[in-house]
Amino acid sequence: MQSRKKGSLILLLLPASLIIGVIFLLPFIFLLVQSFWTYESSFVSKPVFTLANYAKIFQDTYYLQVYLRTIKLSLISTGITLLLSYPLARFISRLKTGLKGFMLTLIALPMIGGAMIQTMGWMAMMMRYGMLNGILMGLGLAKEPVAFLGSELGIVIGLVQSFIPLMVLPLVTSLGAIDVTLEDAAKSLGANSLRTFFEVVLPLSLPGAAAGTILTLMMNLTMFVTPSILGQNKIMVFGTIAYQQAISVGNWPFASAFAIFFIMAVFIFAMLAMKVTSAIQKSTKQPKAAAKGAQA
Amino acid sequence: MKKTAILLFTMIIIASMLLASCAPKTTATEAAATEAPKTEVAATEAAGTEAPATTDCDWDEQTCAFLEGKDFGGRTLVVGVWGGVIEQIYRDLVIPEIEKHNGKVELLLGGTGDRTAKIYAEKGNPTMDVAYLNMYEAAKGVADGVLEAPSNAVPAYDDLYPAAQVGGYGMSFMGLGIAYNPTYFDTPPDWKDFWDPKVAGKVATATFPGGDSEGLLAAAGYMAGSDENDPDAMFTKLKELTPFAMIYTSLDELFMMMDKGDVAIAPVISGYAWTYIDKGMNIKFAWPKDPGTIQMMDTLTIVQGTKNQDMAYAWAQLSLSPKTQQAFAEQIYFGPTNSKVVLTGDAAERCVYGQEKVDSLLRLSTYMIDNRDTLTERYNREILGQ
Repeated sequence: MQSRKKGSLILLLLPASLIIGVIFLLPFIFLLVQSFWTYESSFVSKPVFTLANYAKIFQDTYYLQVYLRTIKLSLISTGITLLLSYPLARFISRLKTGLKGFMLTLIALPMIGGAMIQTMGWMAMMMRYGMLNGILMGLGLAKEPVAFLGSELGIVIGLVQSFIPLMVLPLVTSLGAIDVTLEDAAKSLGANSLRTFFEVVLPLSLPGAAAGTILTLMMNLTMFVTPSILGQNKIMVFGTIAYQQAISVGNWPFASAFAIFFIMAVFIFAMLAMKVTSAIQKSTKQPKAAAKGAQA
Repeated sequence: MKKTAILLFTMIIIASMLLASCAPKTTATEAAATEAPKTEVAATEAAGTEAPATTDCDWDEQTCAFLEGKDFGGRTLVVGVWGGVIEQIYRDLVIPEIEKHNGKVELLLGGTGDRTAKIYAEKGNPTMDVAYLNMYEAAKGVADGVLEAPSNAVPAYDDLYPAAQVGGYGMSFMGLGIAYNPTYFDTPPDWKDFWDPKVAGKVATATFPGGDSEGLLAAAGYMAGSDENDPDAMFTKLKELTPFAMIYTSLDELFMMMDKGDVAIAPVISGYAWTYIDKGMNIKFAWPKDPGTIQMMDTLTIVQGTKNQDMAYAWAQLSLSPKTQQAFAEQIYFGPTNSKVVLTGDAAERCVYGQEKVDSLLRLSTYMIDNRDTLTERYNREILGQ
């Protein structure tokens, strides 16, 4: 019975797996193979095995710096996104169903326009004589226009805005699942709002926060539109170098190697993150278990 | 199991992001031509199956004779081209004519980089029949065997200026010149004025690699007493201009900054500055003389192995005909490559027009395109400084 169930499960999964295999796995394998090819001239490479493309990454610190800058900007942006999303998600999770749906739609709405449209909007606002500088200078907060464009600050602002929905949605789900009576219980036992938040709400919402963080971080690590438009291609990150090498320079083997190396690094990073997440999940389950034990 | 699922999901996201990072992008110069950077497939209306009409030909004699009696049997020609005004001119003039001959046209809008990548990736089995590239990429594509060498299989080829017969079929002449804020210069500046101390910190350039930024790098080589084949001289001289006031990806932003005086001078392709000057912005355009205005040329190329060669030739003939070339010159100041085109007024003044002006342009060697990888790497490190 068990094996028949298993067999039909595999059969059911087959079409989807095939699609995923063809759409994602094959290009990935091709990318891997091509990363060992020999570059001849722009857009021309030969299937002759070489390690030169990987060696180039380590030949000095330039490309490693690009990776590190990408990771740094991603971590900062993800951190800020998390901080901004928490209160927002908590507010939304407490709304009545209809209003909640409306707010969630509002949050997700900018995503429909796509990254390009949002970033173009930011570009107009961040210009030297754009709205943002107008406000800052009008309020006397800045004497000279701030150079948002072409700076890391501009990129971080753009990234945070873009991916807030990815953080808010899982957080709302997670926060919405928390039994309100738990907070009431904490308060009735003398905990103030701050303590209730840190000792009851926060630990119980961590799985949502972890999911949101991983999603946002992955999107940030592979950013392309934001750094190329708001960073004006002055701040080179993983995505912009990959594009430059693949499309502008036409050095596909190196672009592949550059991407594969980063994917591997991110993969390891994701595994570690997964470990941390499961550890968090375990630790949040334990108090519950302890509470149950106490009840018994 | 759950872990594996999450891991798989993560990998899928990464892979899809990678694919997304290869999404099309327009370069600075193309952004000007593409009002809103986009890649869309826009098929024209079905042309119907009625018999080809040839009696109402309102093109020049040569084109009418070439098209006479042609029937494309309802096939679709795929043309990769820039969007915006360029696209509109083709929709207004060329596409209706192809449709009259029972053909359809699908325009793939995007930048040169996307098209070049596509042509090489589909070598031997192309899905794009006609592609517009810049002249250096076109010449390399012919040499690499992915593009057809131009020939008088397209009759208008014989009417092109010799400079437009190299690589592909030259579609429009332009020159990389200098856009500047006249507050800083009493007389039109030349390349050497990029290094004038009074504009220090107020110089802008475009993203690298690309025609505009490569042109400035070449000019730096000449200013250092060498030329565009000497990377050490070029980079040492260009480095003196860093940090740039801005590295522009959009002309809107460049000209806004220039209008306000935050940018004094920038390399800009001739056709693109006029629209902004006509808006009344405090901007002027100069044709540098020493060592010269650098030749730029949008080039029509026919992809090697196209299954619609006859349609591609018809497209090329219509595009290179005086009627289409005139429309480009008058609407967006793209210099005609067909020597039979006669321009007057603003168009004659603002376009690279006539044998003398064409001859005066400085044609760079292929060093830049041949060494794009090492030059880009050096540019990233030495000029961007990161």
